[in-house]
Parts: sequence; structure tokens; C-alpha cells
Amino acid sequence: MTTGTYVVGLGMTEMGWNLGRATEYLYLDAIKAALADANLSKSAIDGFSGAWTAPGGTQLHPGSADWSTLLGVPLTWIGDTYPQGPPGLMEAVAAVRAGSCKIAVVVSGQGSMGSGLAEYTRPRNEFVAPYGAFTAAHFALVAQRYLHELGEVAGAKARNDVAQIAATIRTQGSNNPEAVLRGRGDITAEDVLRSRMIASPCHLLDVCLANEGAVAIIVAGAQVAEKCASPVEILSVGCVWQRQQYTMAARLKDNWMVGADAAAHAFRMAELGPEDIDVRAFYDATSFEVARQFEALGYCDFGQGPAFAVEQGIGPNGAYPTNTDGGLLSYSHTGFGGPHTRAAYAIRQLRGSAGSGQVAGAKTALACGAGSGAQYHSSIIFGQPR
Amino acid sequence: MNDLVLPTFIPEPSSLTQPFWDMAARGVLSRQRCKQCDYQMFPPQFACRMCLDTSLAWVPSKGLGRLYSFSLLHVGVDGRALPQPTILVDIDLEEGWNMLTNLLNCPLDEVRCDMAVTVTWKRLSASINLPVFEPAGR
Repeated sequence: MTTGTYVVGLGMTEMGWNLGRATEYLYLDAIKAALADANLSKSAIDGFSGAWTAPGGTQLHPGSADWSTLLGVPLTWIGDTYPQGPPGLMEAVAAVRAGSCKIAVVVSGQGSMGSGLAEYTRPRNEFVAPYGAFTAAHFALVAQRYLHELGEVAGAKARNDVAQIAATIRTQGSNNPEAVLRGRGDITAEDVLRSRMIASPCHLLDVCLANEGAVAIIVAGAQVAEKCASPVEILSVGCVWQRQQYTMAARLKDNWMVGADAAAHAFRMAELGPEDIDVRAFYDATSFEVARQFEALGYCDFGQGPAFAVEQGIGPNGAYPTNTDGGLLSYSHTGFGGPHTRAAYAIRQLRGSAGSGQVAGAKTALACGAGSGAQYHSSIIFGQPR
Repeated sequence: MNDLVLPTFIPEPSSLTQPFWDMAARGVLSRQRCKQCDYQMFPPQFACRMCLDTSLAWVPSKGLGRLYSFSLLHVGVDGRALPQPTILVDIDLEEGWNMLTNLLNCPLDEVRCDMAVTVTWKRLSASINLPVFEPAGR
């Protein structure tokens, strides 16, 4: 059983530190590009999911309703989940399957960040913020306990292997002309471990970007997909929210396996196993999370993720190609739009249009959102139309 | 030794959290306990996460525990490098609950998972007394 729905259009903006434009303009560019890619006019849209950031909205949720005003088309379904990527696409899939709409646009990303700190990385909860905690610190708390439980020797080995994971993904990003951190040359594990500490055990080069850019993905049923140039099938989705993020400490014992059951559901529904996936778009909020997802999603046992990734290989020619675009570490991380960029990478892999990170002959791809520090995780599996 | 770098964030209690800060002002660490099922909760909720009963009591803690995990934060909430790292810790309290807090009065290279810690206090304002921890037996 699959979802019977397809990605029929994909549109994305440039990804960068400071694109000099407000979020709504980036969204609009991505939506127009996705419509052109799908060879659809805006009048075809009858479902929409995306935040409203422009002036003149109702200020009420969901922002999706404000887009009906701008688009000038009546919407028969609007989405209101977070984030986009697997959860937002899951909602759109359900809407199309239920007949609530025929063609759903799901858009996410961010602009207008300027040169300041990304506000979403500094949640202002009264039992978190007074202690100086920020988003990456929650991932660090989980990683620190992970290294502790492995013990001194195995923990040190794991730390070095995780640095190699970061180095491999970041080197792929250096070679990707679309990456925010393009042209940085080869990055080594030593570079990672020599970079300044942010939140131990995570160094600067272990931690993802926070940048601007937007992605729009159009979801529709088989009838629309048949007329589309390069449809990609949505095989399955699995999501879990354990707790609201960053309101209490993320913990190894509670959160290391977050997403395991949701991914298992997605694998079952797609009638695939972890070994059947040709390309992985893991959510590399930190490099430790890449190792975690290999463990939680069923590729290897607890404690073996770091060595598994390094020994098997995660580059385009490795046994388990993962984030060959540079991932959230070097390609792009657009806040709540991060999971959407991971989905876009997976879709492009199956279209054979992933550029420098293309994995030859990729027929199945997995994209993930969020992780242990955030206490929720989601997986979506794409395939070439059967 | 590291002193807590004064945070830019001072809690503004809500009706839900005011009892915690009232007890904290008197130097008493507390968490909620469900009157129906005894489940302990922190941070607070308006109903029990276990049985959804809304009869909850604020009960004092001895403030003794062990460090489940930690991270040395080298950047502050403003994103700038800190002159001294902040020690962010997740403490398992003896009574069977846990909280995110800071560790004070401990050399950075002596911070370890599972070390014994005890509560101490840092006054942030006239009304906010922030619970933090330090190594036990100092």
C-alpha cells in the first residue's frame, strides 16, 4: 500500500545567509517555480499549507487562509501543522486522499533574518531560557549522555567518527554550487574537532546552519501526476511528537529513539526496509543526529551509528548515501522549513536532478525532520512511480 | 570556578508557575505532585500528565540529585561567545523527577555525568530566586 499521491511540482529559491527579501516574497517565488515545474496555473490550486508572514493578514491561525486572498482562488483545504516537510506533506496527502482538495501547495522557509540571531533557536520558556539553553544545547545534552554511556574508549572513538560524518557531509556541501557553504574546500574530521566549541560535545562544525530560502512542493493524485513531466510518488509518511520542543530537557533515555516507531510505520506502509532506501535525507541538526538516525531507523544497534556511517560510507559512492547535498550542516537549514528542504533533496534525487550530490540510479529516498533535541521526528519515503 | 553569567532572561511567572517561584523565593525547590496518582511533574502542567486529574499539589524537594547530562555552553542566549562557559545540566532528583538547570561552583574539567549535586540559589530580581545546583558535599 502506498499513499496514491504524488509530488507533481517542486519549486525552490536560492539558499543564502541574507537574501535581502522578506519571507513572503521567497514563498511566492517558490510557489511560482513549483507551478511552472508542474505546468499548472494558479487557478488549479485548491489546497494550501503555509504560514502567512506578510502585512495585512488576519493575524489569526492558520495563515494558510490568508493565502486564499492573495492567490485569488477558493481553497477547499488549508493545512495547519508544523513543521512542513514530512508532517506538512502528510496533511496534504491525507487531504488529497480524502478528496478535500485535488492539488495542494505546501510551502515553507524563511527570509528577513538580517544578520542577527535566528530567534527560533532561543525559546523563551521560563524554565529553560534563564539557564542559557538554546536549541542546539538540547541536542548537546543528549549527545553528551550518549558518549558517557558508551564509556571512555568507545565514546572517544564515537566522537571522532561523528566528526568524520560532519566532515563528509560538509565536504559534499563545499562541492555543491547551490549550498550556503559552497566552495569551502575539503573539510576534515580534524577541522571539525578544532572548530570552536558551541555546546559541548558539539563544535561549530557539528551544528547546522540557520539561513534563508524557501521550498514549495505540490501534492496531487494520480490523474494529475499522469500529465506531469516528472512525478515522484509519496510512498508513505510516519510522524511522532513526543513532547513540545525545548520546554524541558531532551534526554537520551527518553528521546534517543524518537522517530523509530514512526519510521517503522513508514517502512511497513511502503513495503520497504531500511536497506531498500537508495538515498537518505537525514535531519542533521547536529552531526550526532546522523548517527542517531542510523540507529533509531533500524540500520544498526545502539552505539554503532557513528562507526556504521564511517565504515559503510555516506558519500554518493558509499553504501548508504546520506545528505550528499551538504545537508543542514552546509547546504541549507531554513528553520521550520528545514524538513521541507530535506524532502526537496529526496525528490530531486529521484528525478535525477540533484546535481553534484546525485546518487546514480536512485529509485527510493527517505527524508526526515527534527530529532532528539526537539523531541519529535518524522520520516517520508518517496519512490519513482510504479 | 565559574560564576553564572547573568542571564538576559528573567522569568515572568504565570498563574500556573507562581507557586513555584513563591516557594523558590523562600529557598524551597518544588515540583507538582498529582493528588490522585502521585505522579510528579516538572515543568508544571494544569493537569496530571499521567491520569489527567486537575488536583495538583506543589511539594518541596530536598534538592539532592545526580547529574544525568550536561553541556558546556560557550555562547550565550544573545549568540555571543561567553567569557566563561555556562554549565547547562539535566538533574535527576532523588524523589524521581528531573529539571534543566545550571551547575555552579564546579571547575569545568570536573563536570561528570552521574556526579552528586545539591540545590543552591541565585537571586535574579527582588521576586525571582533561581534554583541552580552545585557539587554535593562542598
